[in-house]
This record gives sequence, C-alpha cells and structure tokens, in this order.
Amino acid sequence: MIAAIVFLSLAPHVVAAPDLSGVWEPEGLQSLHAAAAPLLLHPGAAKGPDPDANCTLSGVPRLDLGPKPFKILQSPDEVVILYQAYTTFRQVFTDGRPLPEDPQPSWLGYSVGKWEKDALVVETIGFNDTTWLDNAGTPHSESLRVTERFRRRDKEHLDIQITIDDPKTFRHPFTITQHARLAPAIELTEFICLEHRK
Amino acid sequence: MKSLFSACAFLFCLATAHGQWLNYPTKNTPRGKDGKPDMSAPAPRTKDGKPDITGIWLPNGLKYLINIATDLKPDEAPFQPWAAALYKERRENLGRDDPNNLCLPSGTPEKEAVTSPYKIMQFPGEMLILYESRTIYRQIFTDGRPLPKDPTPTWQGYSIGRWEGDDFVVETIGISDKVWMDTNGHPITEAAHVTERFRRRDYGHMDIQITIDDPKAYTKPWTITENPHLLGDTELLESVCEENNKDARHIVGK
Repeated sequence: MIAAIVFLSLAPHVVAAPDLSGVWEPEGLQSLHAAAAPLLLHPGAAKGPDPDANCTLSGVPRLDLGPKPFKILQSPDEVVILYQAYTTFRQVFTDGRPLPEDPQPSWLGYSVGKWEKDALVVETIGFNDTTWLDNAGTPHSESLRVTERFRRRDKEHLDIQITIDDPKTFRHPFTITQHARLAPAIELTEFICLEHRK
Repeated sequence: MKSLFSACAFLFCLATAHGQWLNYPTKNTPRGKDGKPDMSAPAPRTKDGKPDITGIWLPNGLKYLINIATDLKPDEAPFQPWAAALYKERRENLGRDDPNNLCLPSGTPEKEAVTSPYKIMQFPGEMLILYESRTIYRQIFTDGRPLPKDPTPTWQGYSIGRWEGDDFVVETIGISDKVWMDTNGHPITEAAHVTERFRRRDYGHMDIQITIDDPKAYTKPWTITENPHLLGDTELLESVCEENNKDARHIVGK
C-alpha cells in the first residue's frame, strides 16, 4: 500500500520520452551542397565514383536525406531506425553508454542518443571515409561526427536537424534540417540494392 | 616471446572489443558467482507474463545451413519432380548460382541458420529481428493483422506472429522463389508457408521449430529445429557483404 502511494505520487514527475515511433517519409531529397561547399578545406579534391553504385551502405546522414521512407521503433534502452533503403537499420543506444573510444570505422557508425526536452539527440562517430554525405558527393573523413536532433513538431511532422562536424574536411560545423511526414498507411517494403543496380 | 605475443594479441582483442561494445554488459542479466551470464537461469518474462525472447542469439552449428533436409532419410527432401531436377542441377553446379555468392540476401528460412548473430527486439505491435549478416532486418507483425492475400514476393516474405502458450509462433508467406533454403540449393516457391515456433528454454537457450510447407516444390511438409544460444554482454557488428566480395569471380560450376 505504501509502495503504491509512493509510486502514484512519483508517477506525475516521470517525464516520458516523446514518441517518435512510426513510418516517416522524407519531404523531398535533401542535399548538403549549398551549406557544405563554401566550407570545404580542399574544394578541388576529386570525388571519384559514387560508392553507392556498389550497393554498400550509403552512410549517415545520407540515409536521412531521402527519398525512401524509414521507421522509428523505441524501447527504453534503444531506438532503432529501420530504413527502407538497403533494408538496413541503425541502433541508437539510449541506455547511457558512452560512445566507443576508438571504434573500427564502419559505414553507419556507432550511435548513442539522449532525450533533451522534446528531442532525441543522436551522436554518431566511427565512420569510414568511403561514404558520401549526400547524393551531391559531399566528402568527409573518419573524423566525422554527426549530431541528429529528431523532434516531432506535431503528430504528422518530424524535423531532423543534422549537424556535420568534421574538422579535417570543413572549416567549421554546419547544420541543415530535413523534414519528414508521418506515413501511417504504409509499411516499409523490402529493398535489395543489388536488384536495382543499373 | 610467444607468450608476450599472445598477451599483446589478447590485450588488443580486449581493446578492440571494448571499442565496439562487444564487451558491454547486457542489462538484467542473471549472473553466476564468476559474474558471467548464467545461461541456465530461468527464461525471463515480459510484464504481460509472456516469455521474453529478446536478446542476441547465435545458431548452433552449420548443418541446416548446408542442408535443410539433413534430418530426413535418405537425407533428401520430399521433392516434386521439377524441384528434384533443379536441386540436382544446383548440386552439380557446386552451388555456383547461390544468391549469397553475389551478396543477395539469405531468405526465409535460411536466415535463421546463418551462423552469424541476430538480435530479437520486441516493440508494441511487432517483433523485430536485426541480423548482423548483411546488416538487414526482418519485421514480424504482432498487432493482429492477417497475412496479406497476394503479397509481392520478397526474400524474407511477409511475417505475422502470435503467442501460443509459451511459444511465439511466426507465419510467413510471400517468399520469393529466388531464395535458396540452404547452400546445397533446396528450392522454395511463392506457394510456401513457413511456420516458426520460438521457445526460450532457459536464459541462454532457444528452440526454433521451423516447418516448411511448400506443396509446389515438396510432396509433404517437414520440420527442423534450430537451437540458438544467447550471446551475453555483446552487440552486433556491421557486416557489408558488397564491401569486399572477392568470391563471386572465383566461383565456377560445371
């Protein structure tokens, strides 16, 4: 009984994390080019062929930039983002673990998240330097750190504020915002890149 | 010198592991006196009293990955004639056309036999499986929806799940006939209905009874049982097949 009273009196003070779960469709295909190009430390560097042509994973934040839908699933310790593109996923640990200190470079990096007011703030490091940041071919180094602030503006709209910090590639960090709209009527479909390679 | 080398290798392993959360303690793990996960502790349950099948699992052994009909006698599935001919051709070709060679996905039910960790997560309305192999996911809907009537065939098919006592029962249809059920090349068709029964025996062990019912390719259904074990205190790695596929060009058949 006492326990129940204590629980009830505490309950209203527990701040629930905002619910971001659902299938979201990016509103258009975003490019970082306008924001990134003036900040490049080596603007003339050759960019080579699009790494996506090999059907390797396209990387972060390129997966956020559209146009294919993605789905957010939330548990207390982890947020999972399922991408229709590549039928791939990212795990964002929200259990308080720190980012790894010297991670093996990877295509999608290592992500931890925390809730700040009504936003999920995701920090990601540990990228290889093969991926492009966007379809325009914006490059980056292994020093890349991406911060994504996922905020559900209202029931139907999700804003993703994306900050790119890569001191080996850009003069200073910069931020763009991607918008997505709730797509309650659809499920993600399987998309196997190799079957669509031209 | 040798022991110094071993020690260095060991330390390097530890450092690498920590860096990638491969040595990160899993929450709510029952532990023995040595601090290691107690794999024979009772299976945990969720708040609604159902068994909690979440965790990172690894298949035990390769036998079904090589031959999904290995338990049958004489070691062969009950083929329809055309399926027997196709299987024979694939065997004679030494598996040259296995979609896996090209980095195409393993489909259902091969995916649960691939000896690579996978993580089961539970959310309202769906059970999710994240596969380390290919960094791919599979959604199993538990919101009560029926199976679709005429699904577009895919590598993984369309899956719904429900609880029957302590078993989590998954029904899958809409599997593409491009799928090989094993590396030997047992075919599967779009007529297949695959039923998987997940039962967590104890903390560290699960049985997955898989029934393959594909009347177009086989004269009768048969059932296999996978026995994955739990991997504690670790996480999935990223695995990108297309990154370094050196096999494809070397694979020759007859």
